[in-house]
Amino acid sequence: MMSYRKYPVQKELETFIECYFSWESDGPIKLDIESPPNACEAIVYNYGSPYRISNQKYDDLEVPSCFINGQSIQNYTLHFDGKIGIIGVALKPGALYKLFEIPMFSLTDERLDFTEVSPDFCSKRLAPILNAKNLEARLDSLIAITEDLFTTANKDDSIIQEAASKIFSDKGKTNVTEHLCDIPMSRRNFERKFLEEVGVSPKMYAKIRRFSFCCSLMAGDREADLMDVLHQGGYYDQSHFIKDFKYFSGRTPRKYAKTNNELAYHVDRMAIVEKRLHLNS
Amino acid sequence: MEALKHKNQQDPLFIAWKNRSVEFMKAYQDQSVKSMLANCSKDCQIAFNPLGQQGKGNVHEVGKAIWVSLIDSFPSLDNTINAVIKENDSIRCEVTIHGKQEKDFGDLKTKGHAFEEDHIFIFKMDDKGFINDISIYWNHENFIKQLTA
Repeated sequence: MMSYRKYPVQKELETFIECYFSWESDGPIKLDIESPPNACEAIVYNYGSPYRISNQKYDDLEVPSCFINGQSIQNYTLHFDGKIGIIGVALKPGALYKLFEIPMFSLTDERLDFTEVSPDFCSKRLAPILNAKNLEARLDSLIAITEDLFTTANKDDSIIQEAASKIFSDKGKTNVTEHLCDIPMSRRNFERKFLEEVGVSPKMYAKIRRFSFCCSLMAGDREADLMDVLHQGGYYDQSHFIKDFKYFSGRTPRKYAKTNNELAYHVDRMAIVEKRLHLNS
Repeated sequence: MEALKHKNQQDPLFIAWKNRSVEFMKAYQDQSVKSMLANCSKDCQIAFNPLGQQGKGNVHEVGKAIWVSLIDSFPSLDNTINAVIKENDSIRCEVTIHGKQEKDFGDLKTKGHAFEEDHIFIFKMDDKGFINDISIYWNHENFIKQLTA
């Protein structure tokens, strides 16, 4: 048995966090799970067996047990051979930059060991997450550690974060060139800052978000109506739709629908679990 | 954390390499060939692949000559860095280069047209973290078409 759950976020952290999530198996399992880019950043803690990752450039790479990752621009596959025990935070674009001021282009398609990024913080705070007795306690620890992390973050909405959030909420359909007209910054400055804070250009980010949304429409459906996905995804023509799928997944949309090995094929449902968040306790 | 902010030997290699590649592309945005070359080793080789043999050689000679001439012919030349990705022992920069032709560029007579073309720059670094090899790819046919149509 395997469960994947998403949990809602405290209101005051909604600017930074998309959701908390957990992924567990009851026992050891040998499994390869494919994932498309999801337009989010993340902080991930692994309390299960070590696992590995591969994509179009890495054949096989061990994943650090706790890591931060920037935007993915290629599909990747996680290889499990043991007990799955993962908990983490899916972050909105620009959130990691607010926390660590790392140029986010350096984390595009990369996972960086969290203990190297924040050794002091990790040495004091990781144990309760990794050693918790059950999922509920682990989640409580995750929420507490995340609140503490963001205590020091600059909470003012930057122009960049605002623009990236708009692209995210519009599911990548934002006309970036038109949007640039409303921004009190030169195109070059905006693009430079966007690259620094989000990790890719605004147009690339919109492309990632749109592809990710299309994948979510196709999730778990080998016979997905691709014309419907194309239209809902905001593509104007088939050639761009196919070009994007080949760019991100290495396959045509039809082939991707028929052959992808996403999580949706391995869990009964993606559960959104309402959990009382002890925000002020 | 501090180790990540400063470009020193404690940096994970890919971060230093990505920083170097972005510095190069930013210098290109600023049209400063001198700053672009300052990121390259003395022996750095370049290949403007669609140009064949005449686009290959030492970056301080072949690269410099092409970029100086390009910037002269396209004074508005600029680029957008779309993504910077580490691939094994190299960094792949996906960029969109755009500009308007104001003067003849080699055999390419000016018609006053603008172009916007995706390019891929593959950078390899030496032991000191300087760029030691640059390989550039673009759709040359499409580039010419935009300027001559």
